[in-house]
Amino acid sequence: MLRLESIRTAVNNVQFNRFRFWLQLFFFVLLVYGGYLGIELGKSLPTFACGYNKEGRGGMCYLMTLQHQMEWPWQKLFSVAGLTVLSTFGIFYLWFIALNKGWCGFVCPVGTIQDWITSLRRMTGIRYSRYSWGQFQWLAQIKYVLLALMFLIPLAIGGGWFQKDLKSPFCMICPGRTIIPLFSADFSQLSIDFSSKTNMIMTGLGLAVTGLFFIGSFVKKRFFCFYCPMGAFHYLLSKIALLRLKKDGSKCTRCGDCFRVCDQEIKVIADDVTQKEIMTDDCIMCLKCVAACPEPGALKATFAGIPIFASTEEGFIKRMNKGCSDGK
Amino acid sequence: MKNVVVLLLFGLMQMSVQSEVFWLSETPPSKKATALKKEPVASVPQSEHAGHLHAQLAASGVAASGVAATAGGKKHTHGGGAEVDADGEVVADNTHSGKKQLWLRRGDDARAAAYVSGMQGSLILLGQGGMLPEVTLADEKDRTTVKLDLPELGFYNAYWVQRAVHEGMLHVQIAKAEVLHGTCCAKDIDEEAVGKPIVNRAAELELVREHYSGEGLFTRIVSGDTINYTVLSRGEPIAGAKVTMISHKGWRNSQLSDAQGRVSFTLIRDYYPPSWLDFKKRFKQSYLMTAELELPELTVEGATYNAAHYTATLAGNYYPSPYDYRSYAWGLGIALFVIVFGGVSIYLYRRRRIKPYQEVRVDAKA
Repeated sequence: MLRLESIRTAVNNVQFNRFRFWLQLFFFVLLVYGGYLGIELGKSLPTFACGYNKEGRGGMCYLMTLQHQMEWPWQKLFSVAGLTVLSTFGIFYLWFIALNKGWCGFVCPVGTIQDWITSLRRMTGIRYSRYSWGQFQWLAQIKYVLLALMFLIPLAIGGGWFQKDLKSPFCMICPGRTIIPLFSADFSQLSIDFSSKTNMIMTGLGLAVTGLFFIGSFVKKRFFCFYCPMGAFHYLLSKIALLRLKKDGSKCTRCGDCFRVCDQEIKVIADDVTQKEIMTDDCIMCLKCVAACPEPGALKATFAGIPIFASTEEGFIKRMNKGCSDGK
Repeated sequence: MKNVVVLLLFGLMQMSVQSEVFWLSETPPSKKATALKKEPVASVPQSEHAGHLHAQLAASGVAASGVAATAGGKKHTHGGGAEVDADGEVVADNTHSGKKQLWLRRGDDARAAAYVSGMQGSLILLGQGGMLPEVTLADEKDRTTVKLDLPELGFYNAYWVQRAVHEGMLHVQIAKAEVLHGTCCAKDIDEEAVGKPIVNRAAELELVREHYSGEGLFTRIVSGDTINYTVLSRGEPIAGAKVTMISHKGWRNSQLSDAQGRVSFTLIRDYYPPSWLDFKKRFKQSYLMTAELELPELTVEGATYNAAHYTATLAGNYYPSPYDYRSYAWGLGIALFVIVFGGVSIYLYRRRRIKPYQEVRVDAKA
């Protein structure tokens, strides 16, 4: 028991930023270069392991598979072959419920790149931007619009309403398609495809989004995650996920530290003292709020009901002191 | 004058023999193509010699390919699903399927060669593991065709042979098709091993395409690519054989094979649609390779001929090059524009929000 308690204390007091940095780096190398080591985690990963990174990818993003399957002609999609869609979704769901939205906060290569850009901004001393409450509320709907289009457009292709040029519409605008292959020295996604009007518009839009991604991530923490349809999809399926973010409102002093450190600017985490399940659709489960909370047990991450990382006063002081010494 | 006429007739005869090339094509006939009726040719009994030759081919087995791989970057590209044929019709890309169909065509026009009908015989099929059961030619909708069922992933060679004797000269035509049962999603497969070209040690003349390093089981040849071939006779390189490449539009280039039997051709771009809106990046074009070899007096299976003329054909497909429709300049330009525009906008927005220092004077006496 004593040993378990000491382990728990060590985990709760960990230098969280450093731990997260190394974990993100590990997953980045795994998903971007794992293919070179023969690693293949399948085509149903709940994270942006881009399929356009043909050589090095250690697994593939489920959204690409989903869009390809949704494009099937309806006679095929709604026949026995449609069981393939269900089985692929099942594998995706099994991956997802293990880490819930922790896939966003710890594993996603696109998220990791954004965090690196944020570090770069911090080094330059340029301050970051935040959304106003009104902006936050209406911008937060964009990811659901993108999620809906991601389903509807491929279905329409399968139904013969749209041309195949519009295939994988989200992949065409996703910054992961243009940026992740760069890490394998593949620059082919940086070109505009003029072979048809549709391809020209979609690839042009993709590169505009890429430009927006870079400048947005520079001034706004985790800029793209706010609009990510994968995040919206995760939230819709998160009811039975094993990794959960919980709050004990009775211990919360409304200091607001959790809101201040939140990359996604989620006010609810600070304001709500009644809900036990505090994860929202914008949350990326980076657990920075837990690391920044000074009240013991007010915020905690649990896995299958077992607390694995909880806020402690000792951890808070240790991390703040580290932050202070880093700032000198 | 008489000599001129004789020479003219001889030239015409040579041309007619030359243009009588037969080749195997994977491209199905368009609705507009018309079948060519079978014409009798002076030959040794087809069934006897064809069977005999096939027996020779069968006995030789498959040679381990000594054809070196062409150096170059990996050319694997994602399929894309649909292709566009010469009539502008969208056809499914059946590279992933093991069921293939070949048609026998006649003429050296890669685009408009006639589809033959009424031909009999069979094709020899060679795979990586050796010879497969012969497949018989049959007529379907007035076109001589053969359906193949390729069991495993990899390349297969199909051979159709015709022999004819004209004025004591043996003419042998060996039409070859290199057929691929491919995949763009190879798992647990040694693509290098199953993707090697196959050599037929019994073929009197054969063209073998050198595969690109990393070609794997799904690669598109595009215009601008350099393709290397080796001319072999019974598995051995032949120098001095005349090899001709005929592109989709009929452009030709001829070369003689070098001491190692190698020739190299660059596929030129000859797809120029009337307007840019008609451009199809999956437009499937055919090219035809022919190799010719003449040998002096020889005896084949007890029969003596004044000379022998061998013609080997091998067709292939190519597509428009990505460089024809992709622009990095535009892509990087758009991304950089957005970055710069966004960066400047944010900077100006932040500058405007900085309130300049304003002195506030308070009149204490008021």
